[in-house]
Amino acid sequence: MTSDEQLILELKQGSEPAFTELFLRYRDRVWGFFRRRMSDAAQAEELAQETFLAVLRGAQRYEPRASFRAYLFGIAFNILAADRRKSVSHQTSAHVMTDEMPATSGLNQEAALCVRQAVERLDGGEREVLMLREFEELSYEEIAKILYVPVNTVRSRLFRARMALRDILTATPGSLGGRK
Amino acid sequence: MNSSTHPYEQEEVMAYLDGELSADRASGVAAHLRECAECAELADQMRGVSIHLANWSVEPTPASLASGLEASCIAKSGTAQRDCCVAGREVRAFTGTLDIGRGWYCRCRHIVARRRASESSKNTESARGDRPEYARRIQTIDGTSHSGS
Repeated sequence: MTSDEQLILELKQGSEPAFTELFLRYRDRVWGFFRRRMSDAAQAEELAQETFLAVLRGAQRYEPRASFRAYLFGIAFNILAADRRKSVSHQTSAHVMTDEMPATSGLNQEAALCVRQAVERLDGGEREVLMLREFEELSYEEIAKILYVPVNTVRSRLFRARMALRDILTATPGSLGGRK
Repeated sequence: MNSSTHPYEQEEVMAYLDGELSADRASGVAAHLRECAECAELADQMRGVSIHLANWSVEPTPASLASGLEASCIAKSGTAQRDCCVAGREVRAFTGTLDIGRGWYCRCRHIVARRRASESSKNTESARGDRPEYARRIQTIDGTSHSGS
């Protein structure tokens, strides 16, 4: 199977199927990235579109310095940050970690709701590191580059987030088997 | 848990589970986890947190993401003076295999009209250069240029 990095280089050369393949590979992950962070599904979809559009338009300037996944979620994160700034300036709060949380899906909605609410209680910086690691599966170094913080900061924030989440979930009946 | 009884910090145990340690360091932590019940329990708790997080799934990706992407391509392709259909065909070269179905043209026209109206409104409010807002924003987003803002 052609690697993501090879595909983006092919896209840089103007390959149409390369973009299609990247879109098909990452549409669910990019959708999940925004949907977990935003309460408004339509807005999440729009930002996901904007992310792929930025990939398409930026392909000519792409340099293979990092994995495509890190590149893609770096773009997504910047788009999210820009949208958050815009929302703050308009005094709206359509994002995750507000009273209005995004919908959950899956077989065990109760468990999903429990996790979502636990994540909501984390410190903002720690939460973002945790989500980039757990859902986007980025390395510490990749997260550090996206957030503009040292790798050690990523590690310590991630540790604190996981420990806090453990404590929150431990206090929730049926979570983590009561271990602490 | 402290350094006098545990040769590895808790963060290092976590980094081991995440595959972030060098081979030497990782083998050391692995050996320690086999001997130390306390650290092994910490590792189990870390794994448990990850398993719980995996429960947080979201709705399936909307089918309209692909068609919306195409519409966005058209609306943002700087073709304000060109016919939507022509621009659509060009952009569709990129998105043509996304199985977006029929009706995309009408949808595109609607979105293009809406965005044109929006951009026109913005342009009259502020004269911030010839490039539309989306172009400045995307250049900022992908980190290749900040000169437009």
